[in-house]
Amino acid sequence: MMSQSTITTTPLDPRPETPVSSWRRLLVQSWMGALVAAVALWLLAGWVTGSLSLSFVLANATIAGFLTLAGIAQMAVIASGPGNFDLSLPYVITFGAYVMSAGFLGQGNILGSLALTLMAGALAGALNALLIVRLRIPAIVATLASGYIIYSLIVAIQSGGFSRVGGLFEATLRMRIAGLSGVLVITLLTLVLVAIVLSRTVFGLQLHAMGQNGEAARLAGVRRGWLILGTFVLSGVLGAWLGALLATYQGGVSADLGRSYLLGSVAAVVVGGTRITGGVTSVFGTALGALVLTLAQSDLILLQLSIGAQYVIQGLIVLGTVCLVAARSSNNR
Amino acid sequence: MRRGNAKRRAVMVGGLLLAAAFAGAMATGPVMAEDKITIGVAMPFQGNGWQKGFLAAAQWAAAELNAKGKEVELSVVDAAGDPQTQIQQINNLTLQGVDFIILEPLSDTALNGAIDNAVNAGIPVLTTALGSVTDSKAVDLQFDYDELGEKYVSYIAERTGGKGNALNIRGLAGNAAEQAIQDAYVKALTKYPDIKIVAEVYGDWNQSVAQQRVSAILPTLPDVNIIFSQGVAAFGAAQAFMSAGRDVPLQIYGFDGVDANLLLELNAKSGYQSVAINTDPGIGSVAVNVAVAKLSGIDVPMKMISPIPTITLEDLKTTYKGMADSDIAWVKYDYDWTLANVIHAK
Repeated sequence: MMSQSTITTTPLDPRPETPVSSWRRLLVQSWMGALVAAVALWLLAGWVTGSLSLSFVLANATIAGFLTLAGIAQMAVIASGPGNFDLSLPYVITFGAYVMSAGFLGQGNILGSLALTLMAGALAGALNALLIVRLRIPAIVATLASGYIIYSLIVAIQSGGFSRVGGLFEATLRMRIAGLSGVLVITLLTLVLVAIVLSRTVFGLQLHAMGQNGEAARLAGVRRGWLILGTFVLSGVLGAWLGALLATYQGGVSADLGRSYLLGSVAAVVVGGTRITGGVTSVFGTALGALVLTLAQSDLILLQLSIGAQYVIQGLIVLGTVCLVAARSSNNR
Repeated sequence: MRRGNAKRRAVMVGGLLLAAAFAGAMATGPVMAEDKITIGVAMPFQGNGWQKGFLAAAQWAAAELNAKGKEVELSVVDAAGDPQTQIQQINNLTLQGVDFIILEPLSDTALNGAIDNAVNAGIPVLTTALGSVTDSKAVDLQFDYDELGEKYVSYIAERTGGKGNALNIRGLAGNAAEQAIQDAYVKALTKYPDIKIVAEVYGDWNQSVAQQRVSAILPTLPDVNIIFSQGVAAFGAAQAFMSAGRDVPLQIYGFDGVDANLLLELNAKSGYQSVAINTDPGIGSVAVNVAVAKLSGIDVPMKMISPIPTITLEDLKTTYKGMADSDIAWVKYDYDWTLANVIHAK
């Protein structure tokens, strides 16, 4: 008997198409949980302090914005395949902040420093991609190693001294328009840009394909090597951009600037409803996840809980969300 | 075939990297010489300005002693915040045969084994700055945190007439020195019951973290006219208040260049008055002096106190003029001063 290989097209969902109301569709969105949680946390803060304050949300939104940028950098890497993480992200953020503050191209040259910073981020991403594609090292190990290499660059650059970035850039970031800070607006613009890249460009679609089923994507003509390069360069550039924003907005740098963004970035992605197994991204979800985490931390401070209790509760929030997302997706199977 | 090539390449690159790492380690190995004092300095991390100041002070003291005819060399290692790494580094310094180890311990118990190794090999160990250890064989050079609490709180109380609402910015949660400073503040505050702490955040001894955490709760804070912090938060806290369009409350500044420059700026703009009180990175110079004294045969007590200085606005405009943002102020303690006031103190 001849072995037959047939290419059959199977519908993606074997169940018959049932009409779903738009409300229902809204409710099953992956980020709905995060949105509900964010509103609940805001109401909780209002209850504790006795007044519902919009500026509380906006102040936290600015901080959550930073966390979101780190989150989407991590999200792109996670989406590229199961088990992919970028452990070098906190170091790239710190490195970007230092390059921005070091003023290599002249103290007042903000555009020059910015270009240099983004290029440094891209190079860091390229290093990661090189280790992963050429040397076939798993992403976790490769980014761990490159993280240490970048850390030593940070120590080297640190001895050269730094100063405030200042100038028009700092003034823009700190400006307030109707309660919104300039940096929050810039962060939102970045998020919109990344969302477009991830959902409307060939690169974005190929990234999702590769994350969902690497073998099928390869057969469909997706070049894994170039895609990994693009993903990590995107992650590196976002990390460096975040570092530059932090350095300018806060008016200073320190070697542990990026430290809280490692686990925080993964937490934001997870709490936003994105699956860790890869192949799916949601910029909006990650942004909401970051907002939930930031509001939770602020609420815990307002509730005057001990620092130990704060850590435990934050951990439970992330754990709880992972369980909920896992339960949801096993229901959908 | 392709897989085989990739594997060979990986092995080659891996081998090259390892060889480079070893070569680097060899090149920076110790140079042994007679009559030269080698002091191992185990830094906990290089992350903040305070640690930079500590190292600068230690190096200054070594240079001063070298100018006076002694031969002192510092061998500096950095544990990047990890106690396990610090254990290995202490053991490495012991194997290298340094004459003395100055240690900023990342843990008060985990390092005891490594410290015992060093002391049994005839290398005295001095713990300082970041905290102490429970091992009684280590010489301890610390700040009197009660003195810090007294000076700090009494300045604030003096300026506010003993009353006010305060925001308390703490340091790195779980750290022994952080708890000691907090306890000292609380103790000193018992004398001024009308100063109330209305909110508390952890600044992690990091200006950016302090700024973010303060910004997050600022909209919901009642009127706050005092800020307490632990030396590395005043700039961040002020930024948070200024971005929210509020006046910077009374606070005591640290020794960082950013803090000092901000204080000078606020003073020039609106006559804002304050001082800088902080644990002094200059303790690094005291540590080196104590090490040399002990190695010269002078009897050094097991527990010593290093002073807490107050740097006034005047000092900032004169002695510490022109500090860059990345600098830190520290007081220079020379060998004779250390002998008289620290080693032989009553």
